[in-house]
Amino acid sequence: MHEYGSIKPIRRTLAALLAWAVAGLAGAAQPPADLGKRLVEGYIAPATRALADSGRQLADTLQGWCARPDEAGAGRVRQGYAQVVRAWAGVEFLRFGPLVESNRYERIFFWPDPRGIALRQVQALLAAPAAPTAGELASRSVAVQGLPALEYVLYRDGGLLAAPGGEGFASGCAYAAAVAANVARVGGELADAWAPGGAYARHFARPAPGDALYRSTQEVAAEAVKALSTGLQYARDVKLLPVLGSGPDAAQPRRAPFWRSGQTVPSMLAWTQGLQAFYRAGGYDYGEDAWIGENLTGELQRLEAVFAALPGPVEETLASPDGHRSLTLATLLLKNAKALVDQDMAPALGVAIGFNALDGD
Amino acid sequence: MRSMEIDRRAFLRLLAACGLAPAALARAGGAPDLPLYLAARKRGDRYEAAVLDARGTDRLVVPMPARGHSFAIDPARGRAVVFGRQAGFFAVAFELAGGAPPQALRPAEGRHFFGHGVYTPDGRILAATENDYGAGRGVLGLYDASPGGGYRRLGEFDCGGIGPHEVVLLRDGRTLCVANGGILTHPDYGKLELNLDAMQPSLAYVDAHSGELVERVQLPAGLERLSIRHLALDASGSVWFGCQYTGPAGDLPALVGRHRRGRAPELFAGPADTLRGMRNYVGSVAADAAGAVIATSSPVGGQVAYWDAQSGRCLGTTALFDGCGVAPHRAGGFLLNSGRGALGHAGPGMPFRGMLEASPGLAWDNHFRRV
Repeated sequence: MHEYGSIKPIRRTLAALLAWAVAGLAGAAQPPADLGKRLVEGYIAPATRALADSGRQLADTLQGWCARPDEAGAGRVRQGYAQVVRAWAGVEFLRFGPLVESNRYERIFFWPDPRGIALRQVQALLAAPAAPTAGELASRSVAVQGLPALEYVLYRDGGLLAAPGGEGFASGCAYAAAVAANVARVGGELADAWAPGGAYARHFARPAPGDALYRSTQEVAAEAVKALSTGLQYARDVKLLPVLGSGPDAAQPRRAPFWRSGQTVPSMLAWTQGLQAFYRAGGYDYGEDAWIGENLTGELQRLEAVFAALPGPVEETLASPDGHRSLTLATLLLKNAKALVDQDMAPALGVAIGFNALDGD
Repeated sequence: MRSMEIDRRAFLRLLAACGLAPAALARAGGAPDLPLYLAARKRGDRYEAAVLDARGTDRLVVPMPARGHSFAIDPARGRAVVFGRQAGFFAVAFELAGGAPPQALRPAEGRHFFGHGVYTPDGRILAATENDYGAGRGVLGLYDASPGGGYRRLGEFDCGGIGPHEVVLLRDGRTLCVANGGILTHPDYGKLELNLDAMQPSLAYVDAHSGELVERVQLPAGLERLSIRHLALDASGSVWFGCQYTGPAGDLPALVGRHRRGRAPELFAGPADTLRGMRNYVGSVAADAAGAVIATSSPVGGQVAYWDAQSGRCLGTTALFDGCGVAPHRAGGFLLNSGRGALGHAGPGMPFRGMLEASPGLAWDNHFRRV
């Protein structure tokens, strides 16, 4: 045959069949037997509770500020919004189980939105005579229920923070408070499901052969590995690469999440810290292959340092050659970290991810 | 888009320089050993489309600039088109016997391929599922496949939904059945689902001559997150479909169904363990040579399941790690391949018999098609 045709048919031996059957398990270390419990108690339960709490706090702050829109209150609103965004960054990569039920992810974070659906819907909602209450909001489009919608209402030119007490302030502010309350409500559902002993945590923390969701610690490990892997990919492919363009002149900062509120980089920093804490909570032991854990945490720490060193709004960061280089470096670190998770961590824990299974179609 | 343009030029050079090996084919000794099979794969760092014989031996290799997906096949004229996997900005038309140089196709501005397509039986039109991503709607792109047509894009038909994936031609030779997965994507964000809250998957029947949407079928309420993706026809001409569920992993809805024109779609769950073993994911669907058995693969679950096309009863499963490609074998059963490079023959009551061993650096991609 020709130059690429070097595959050789094999004889149908028993050895070959056995090789198929055990592929992916040979040489596997075991994940900690109580991996699910560690992840729930050490990370997921507190992270989801923090999201619910920060949402509740922002809703309260907004309610007070709506009635008396003073400068000090505006500062508290900004702080409260930043707090919710950071709390969300610590939860968003847990995109399985409770977060994919009932469109919870999209209710909190309808993003990216390349066709500007949320903007149009929020504008229509603001133009309506009365704002929906928190209760009513849950039955509206998910695009008007979460953090991007709230950011637009608060931070847009001429928005609530720029023009407190202006025309339409009362109903706009009521809507903002309703969105914050909605985030608190959805966050509360997540926190309840993930509380130790909660409806989902029960399965995750105690896998068993007869369990409907997780039959073994291996399946829990697979879920954790997948969350890390897809989280790292999402941060690179969805959050950073579309923004970077080919250089500072071609960067598109308005594709970045939270660019209006200046929370792009702080949210990425919080995400990196959350991902590390989630990883640490697993207590993975690679035995002789300790380098896997060392390399992975090393990449994540470098990533954290990159984000921590970037001050100011993402527009300014991207416009400067140094800032652009830093974010480009972040994409490389994310890629390396993902490769370590997929190629080293996963097999070391006996989790095999296939070419087709990893990126299906 | 600029980097894509550079890639494309490099790709065209690659096509010209080392695309095919007709000389090698000739050395292999005259007419190819029919039937032939087609599959996309990754070999080392290279993405290729391969024409194989029934033993899995290469007959022809076509280089691709990126990961491929599936094929439109025109057996009467000995040619095929391989489509880039979504969001695909390339397709390559080639002759199965490797005579003429392959030809690169591009989608229109603002469109990308989803990875599947068909020829009309007269060989005059190639129809491909595409994304009109600015408008967020699915279309069938139409290309001039007639002699001298050069695969010029002629226009497009609306396909009555978002995210059209596989398209098949019904036995009447003029009705196209499109699996509208219902998932909105935008190439800026790869395959990221942008409308999980508002999915409306459907099967759409489109007249290939007029573009008229002649029938559109949806799954029962509550299954909005069940994306209909892959299709095959059984002996009676009924459409079998395989789905991917984007909702919570614990839900485990039935993933395999059959649709007969004018009726409601039927869903077949199979035994609980088989359903669980599919992990809410079907990667490809094929009918056996007689059209009596349907195979559905789940690379996520590492399992291929078989279904009786008349009764919808599950006939058993084959375990194959990352197994996705399924194609009918002429002796009955199916050829299966995997992302680990394995390839073999299996079927209901027929243990997996390997032909190509799993091999580092070789990954068979999603689809395996018989010419």
